[in-house]
Amino acid sequence: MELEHVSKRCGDIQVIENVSVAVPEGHIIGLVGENGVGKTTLLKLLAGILHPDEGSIRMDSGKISYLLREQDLYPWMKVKDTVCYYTDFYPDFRLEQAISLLEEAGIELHRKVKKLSDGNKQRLCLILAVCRQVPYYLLDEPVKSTDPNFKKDFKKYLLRNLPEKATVILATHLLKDLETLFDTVMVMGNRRIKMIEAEQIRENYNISVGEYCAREMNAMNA
Amino acid sequence: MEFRTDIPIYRQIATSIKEQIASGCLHPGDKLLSVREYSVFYEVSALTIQRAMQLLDREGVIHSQKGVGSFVKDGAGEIVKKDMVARLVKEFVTSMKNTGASKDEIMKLVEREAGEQEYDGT
Repeated sequence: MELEHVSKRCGDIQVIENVSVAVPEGHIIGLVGENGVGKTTLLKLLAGILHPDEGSIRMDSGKISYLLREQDLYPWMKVKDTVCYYTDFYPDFRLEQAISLLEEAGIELHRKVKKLSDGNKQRLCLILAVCRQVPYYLLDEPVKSTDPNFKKDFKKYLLRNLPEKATVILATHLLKDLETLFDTVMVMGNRRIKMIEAEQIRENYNISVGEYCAREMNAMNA
Repeated sequence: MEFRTDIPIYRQIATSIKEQIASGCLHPGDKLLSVREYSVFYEVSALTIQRAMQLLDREGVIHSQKGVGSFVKDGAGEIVKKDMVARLVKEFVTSMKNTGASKDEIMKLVEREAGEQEYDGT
């Protein structure tokens, strides 16, 4: 998965300009940046949902599991129908794992999506995303609406349910909770992306990943 | 386990496993947990666990057999003890230097304390 000299505009905002980046395989990558900087845009570009204005993106969309937003679910469908829809659409979807995770979350199969709480809607989206057996997972703020208990267990949840060799890109502004999870961080700001390994930050600068990203973002906006 | 976020995590995990050997939770010949199990337990990526294991392998503390697993090596106990002692000494000397003590002062104080403790019969 690779960006080569990619530029993208959204409306009259230049989100990224001439960005080249190769996504490291098998890493858990934190995509960090202020709200509105373009993290979602970048994930959509990587997923093939959006296309670059300039440059090219190398990726295989068949091998990518993209986390849906709550509003992407069909509200009139029952949970079980949503899951069956995913099973039919994606041959790589693991139904037994999904049913087990839904049960663990206390989400009833017969309930209509519109009747689920926001937290459970997001939980359902997350379950749909992680139960696909693919090389790439793109998760955009996966715990934004979930309850604090789930947030606390989220790292374990992800590590337990995703394949070990998976490449995961996780966009977040909750860096503090998740920073020990990331192998690599991509810091977005001022039309650029800076990528660095988390352990390199700790080894070379003796600061936390959160501190590094804050400094980087300040420098980018200066 | 709470990690310091300003020093490499893989080193802290390697230290944690060495502490388990030092305390007798792990014995020579024991099989370590899988990469995945450690990953979930410590809440870090598989890559971080692999780095920790590679470090322990390089230090001669564990032996990793591809496809089988990782095992605590015979003699790991000695290596780990040496490692812990070296670390304690380093921390102690660093702390003492921070109080402004000179090398001679440090040595004198250590001699006196060690002597006193011997006298106690401990």
